[in-house]
Amino acid sequence: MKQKNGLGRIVSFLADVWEILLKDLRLEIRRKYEIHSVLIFALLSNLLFAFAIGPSNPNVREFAPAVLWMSILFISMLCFATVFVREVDKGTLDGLRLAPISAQAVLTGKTLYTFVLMSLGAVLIVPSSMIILNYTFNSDGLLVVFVLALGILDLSIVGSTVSSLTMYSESRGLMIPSLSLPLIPGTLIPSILATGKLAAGATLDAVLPEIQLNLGYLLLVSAALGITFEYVLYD
Amino acid sequence: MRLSNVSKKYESRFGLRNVSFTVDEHEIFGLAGPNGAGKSTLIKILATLTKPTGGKVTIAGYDVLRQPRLVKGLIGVSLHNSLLYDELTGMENLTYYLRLHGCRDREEAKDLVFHKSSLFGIEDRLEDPVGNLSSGMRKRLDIIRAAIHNPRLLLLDEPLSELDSEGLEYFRRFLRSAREYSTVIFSTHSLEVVEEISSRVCILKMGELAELRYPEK
Amino acid sequence: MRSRCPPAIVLAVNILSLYMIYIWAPPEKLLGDSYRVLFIHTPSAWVCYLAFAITFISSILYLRTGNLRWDLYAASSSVLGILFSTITLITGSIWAKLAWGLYWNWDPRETATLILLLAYLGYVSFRMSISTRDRRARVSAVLGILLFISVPLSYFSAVLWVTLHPMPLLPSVGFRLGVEPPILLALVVSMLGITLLFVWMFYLTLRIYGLVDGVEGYVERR
Repeated sequence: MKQKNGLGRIVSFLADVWEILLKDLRLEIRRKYEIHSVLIFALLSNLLFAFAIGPSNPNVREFAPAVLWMSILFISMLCFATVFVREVDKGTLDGLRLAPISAQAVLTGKTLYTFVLMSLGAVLIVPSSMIILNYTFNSDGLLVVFVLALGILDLSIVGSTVSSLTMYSESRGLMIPSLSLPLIPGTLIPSILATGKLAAGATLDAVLPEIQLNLGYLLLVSAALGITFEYVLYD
Repeated sequence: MRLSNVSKKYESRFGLRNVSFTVDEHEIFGLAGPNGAGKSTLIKILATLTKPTGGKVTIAGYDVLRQPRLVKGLIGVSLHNSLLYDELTGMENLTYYLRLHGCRDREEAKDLVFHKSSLFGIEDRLEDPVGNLSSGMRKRLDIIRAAIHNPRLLLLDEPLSELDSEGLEYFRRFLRSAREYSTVIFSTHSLEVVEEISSRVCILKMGELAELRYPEK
Repeated sequence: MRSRCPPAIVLAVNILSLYMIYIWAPPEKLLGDSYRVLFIHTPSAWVCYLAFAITFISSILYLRTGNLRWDLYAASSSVLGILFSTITLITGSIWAKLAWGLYWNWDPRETATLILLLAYLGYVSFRMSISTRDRRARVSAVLGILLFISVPLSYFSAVLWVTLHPMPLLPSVGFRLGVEPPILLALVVSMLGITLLFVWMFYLTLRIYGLVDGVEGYVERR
């Protein structure tokens, strides 16, 4: 029985989140072909964008942040498709519904799982796009990682939410792009802008507006979901 | 556990109509009836998975509609399809569900899983991925999953459907031990078995309670 | 909103506003007659935001009360929002072409409205893909809330984006319309006219959707 208050509740919330994340990652590792296809797709999309721009385009450096984030967006669509829909397909969603944990813990666990999966893709995409498009980040490495991670986290929370909404839709995965893309510009545009500035060697001050927007996005969306997500999870 | 006037109305028809009964602690309560009688619907309502459109359900004093999370801590549910992940082993599945119920100690969890599985004679298959098990084995594992955290109320929807005669024997043994800490409600379409196993039988027909009786023994 | 809004009043106000827009209001000094598209553009923009706000508020109310009537409100006003945001975008681009020489300027408001339109197109097709009524109401209510709170986020991102990539073709000093009293009055009347039109259309859409729901329920019962 879990009837705790304050700190105890936070601890058990985090423990639930951790369990769900661990379970999903374990499933993902056992099903290697999915990670493989995500990673291959990441490299391919990167390459395709390079083809679209052309090898000797003088503005290639300016396109780089856009190419990077478009590739991340591409793989995100693949990742979103599995988050909740797989639980429905395998009939295990009721297991999550029956667990005496909060709906927010389920969403947080799923968001972090998406985040890990996408970060894995980003680890591949970022260096490969740096080589293909011939650019480097001339800023503090830690800042670059932070900006990328924040952007990916924003995408993950939107993606796992949309994935949870589409599990009720009869067209399932088909709905994911058309529902998530209109929600995404609010975080994608700042991410692209900040990445572009960082490639040109910007400091924290220069990318502060973008970081603030992305943090605001995260807070606003999580606040709304904190209240509404239980309506999505429980039928 | 008490149900009063519980109904579930779908857009056009009743899935359940004014069903009322009380189940005492440590009872083994059988739900019988033909297909489509409302057995699964009733179990899903008790399990907080479906909301009744009318009536009131309380489990150990908690309202299923108002305090679903507290109720979830008290119940263990096995539905028609198993809630196990095919890629994970039996042990991983069971410890995962056990930890979601608040048992964080790894060693303790392992011991408990081992003990429970031995009741069903599958303790030597715990390290196999669930996807490799036969459907009967999976069913046994899923029943154990439902009972893993010693729930006050154990809800089993058609537990016998995939079980062979050996499985049935194990199930009887399992019920005897489960009775010590739980109330059990299970559904089946076979009247014979339900009369033999349970301490009380409820027969549903067309979503209505047709009969409530103690089996003659 | 449930009370009848007599079509005669709507018609009368709109005829009056058409008269004021096209005949009564004087031509503008710089742009001549072409500025009149603003009399359609501004009220449509207001009404489309109103419609999406109604969807947002109805979604919240549905989740709080579970009353399917609020879902009907959300669905009906989202469709009208789509209609009016389309009108807003079209008239806006005409105006932009006249004033600045380009149909599309990536003005933050323009951009945010376009994203809004796309978002609610997704919302409507999402609704169509769920057949159970309660479920559709509940899940699309959550979506309705999420979409609406994403609007300011898209807007601020667009602001940031435009300030970083200024349009070279835009004159640095924005074009300002000389607001004379008759123009202002005509604008007020057309605001009123289009808002009333919206209310009336909202009432009709509610009735149609209510009937469709009724018929679907009847067919299922058979």
